[in-house]
Amino acid sequence: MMSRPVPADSSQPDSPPKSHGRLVTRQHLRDTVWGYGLILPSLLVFLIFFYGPALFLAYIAFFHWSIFASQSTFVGLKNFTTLLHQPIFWQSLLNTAYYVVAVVPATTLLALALALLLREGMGRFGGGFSRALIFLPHVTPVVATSIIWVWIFNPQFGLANVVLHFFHVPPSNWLESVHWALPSVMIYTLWHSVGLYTILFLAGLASIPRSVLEAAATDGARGWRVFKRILWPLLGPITFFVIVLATINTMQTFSQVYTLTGGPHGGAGGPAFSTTTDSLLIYQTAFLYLHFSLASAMSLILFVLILGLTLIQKWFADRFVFYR
Amino acid sequence: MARVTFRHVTKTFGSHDVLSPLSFEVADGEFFVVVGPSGSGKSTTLRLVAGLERPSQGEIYLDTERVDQWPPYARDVGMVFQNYAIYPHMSVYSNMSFGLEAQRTPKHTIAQRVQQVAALLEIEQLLPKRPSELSGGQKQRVALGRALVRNPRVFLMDEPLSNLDAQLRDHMRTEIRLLHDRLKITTIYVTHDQTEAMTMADRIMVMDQGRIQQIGTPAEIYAHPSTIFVAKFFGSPSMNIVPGRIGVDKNVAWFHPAHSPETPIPLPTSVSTLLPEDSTSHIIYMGFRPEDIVPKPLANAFAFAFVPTTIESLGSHCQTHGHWHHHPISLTHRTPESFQRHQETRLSVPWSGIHWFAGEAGLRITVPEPDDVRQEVLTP
Repeated sequence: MMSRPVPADSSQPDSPPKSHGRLVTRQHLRDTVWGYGLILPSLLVFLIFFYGPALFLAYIAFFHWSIFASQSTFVGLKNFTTLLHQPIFWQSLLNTAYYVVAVVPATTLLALALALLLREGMGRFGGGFSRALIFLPHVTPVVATSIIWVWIFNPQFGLANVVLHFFHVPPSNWLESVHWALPSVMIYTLWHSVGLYTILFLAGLASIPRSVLEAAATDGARGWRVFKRILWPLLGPITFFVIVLATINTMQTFSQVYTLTGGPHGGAGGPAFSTTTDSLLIYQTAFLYLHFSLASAMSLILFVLILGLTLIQKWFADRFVFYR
Repeated sequence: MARVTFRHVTKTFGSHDVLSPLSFEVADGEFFVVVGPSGSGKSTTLRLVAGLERPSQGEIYLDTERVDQWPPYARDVGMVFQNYAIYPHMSVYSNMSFGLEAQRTPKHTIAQRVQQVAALLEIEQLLPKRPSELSGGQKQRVALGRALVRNPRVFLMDEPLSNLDAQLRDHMRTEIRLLHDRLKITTIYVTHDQTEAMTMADRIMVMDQGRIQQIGTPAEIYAHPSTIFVAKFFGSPSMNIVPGRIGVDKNVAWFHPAHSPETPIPLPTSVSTLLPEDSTSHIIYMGFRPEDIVPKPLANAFAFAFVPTTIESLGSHCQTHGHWHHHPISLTHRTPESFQRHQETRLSVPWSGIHWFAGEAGLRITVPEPDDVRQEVLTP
């Protein structure tokens, strides 16, 4: 780097030339300023739209707060006790639990199966095209594809019932049925997210040295034994990661429930609250009924639940997962 | 234990021929070393025996059974991989018992076999350990043990020593050979290292560019290399090769070296009569090993002027590099005083120490057994 030329009208014309060390320091300072300058916009966005609201949320969860009132009053744990007496809150927790317990194992197993089918050396399935095909749903916007799935689940002329009819299964009311509405959302989520987890599993499979599998083959092992004794243990870390990620994602599910079961026209979470998940209830409490303090308290509970579940999963992983 | 037979085996990856038709047989109990540079097809040959690759054409037999379409798990071969390929999540014991479990061996037999082989390889104290706790040499032993424990029909080793340091490599070389002498399991051993090939093999198969160059005992291959490639592959420094042409003048055959055709070398009748008739029509290569060069003029020998440029003393002997009319020549000799740098001396090679090769492929011209020639040289 060249040093900046001394201006001709400098007030100290005979000042000694700047030493190399000072030059380096100035350069370093300039780089630092530039570096922080470049990350500043995203840092600001993060502070203003993430940490700010998160802290504010934790604050108002213990207050009676309203956008219309200038004063907020400290109420301690009252928001939380109010929630515990609300059947709809318990219903939403139950719905979320049902949703998580069904979707996480299903996506994990399906993704693992697809990855085993699509991995290297599996002949015609192993190409990049089938991988792209599996991954494609995940890059589509949830809101847009949900609307398509509303049509698929249409009881009169939707594709879903055509498929059921083909297999001689009586048609379902899908999103309009109390029993089938949440499973319908699960099916959509499976379709939308399995590609991501498949890619993760494929990365995990690719990290297993080929010679280890060849050693197993020359050792006389095949099929189920290779999976059980070699692939499954060596996929442990990635399986753990997939389960944690899937759990966090499903516990926060909002967009597809909102769009599939009502959208902006209202009625989301129905029929009869059968698809009211935590996130949806939080949204409705805050932005439909304007009970921001209650919604904040619920968010805090959801946060603690996710954190606790993740810690439990980590405890399991530390005991049973082999890390290379 | 078994005999391994290849009949016209080829292997093609895409449009690339990795192996030209290979036919050879490994005898029961033999230690057979496949050697060649990288890309010569030696590993592919080994993987074909293991069933990790299928041949494009041809047949592979274990004893009398044709196995080339069998999957690897059905072939009952033990394989040691270059990077050991230890199952990283299993204890040493489980690594060794895995293959026996796959064969549904009874539990108490498994324990017995693992103990037995661990004792043989002196790794009993490693059995409860995890692979991450092992050194390179220990992993090597575990890999050997894992392949041995099933008492396979054929033992396959793919560059098993290349990841070890030089000292350990020398040690394991001896040990693997001793192990083979004890167990007598048919072994196919792949390496790019000429020393391993020479010291370990009962027979060597030299490969280059997917072709067999020569099969023979280490002594045969060293004394009678069948191509220039084989000649140069074994021995260090490698054999001196001098291209040239044969000319006949005044009823005497002359070798005109390509680098100085104006100073032809007369060939004694004992050599010239044995060169094929058409030798004058194509390129002929003269080859002689560095250790066959005598640093003084000899009667009845091939002699040439040599200018040494570097003299390397290795303690037990010296390697001297220089040139003969700008053609590089290397020789080994005992005493460093023999030469002075940049000072021309005359060197000789007894005619019995000269190998002749011809044509593009550099195929050996079958000249008389060295002993016959030597006799003739001694009694002119």
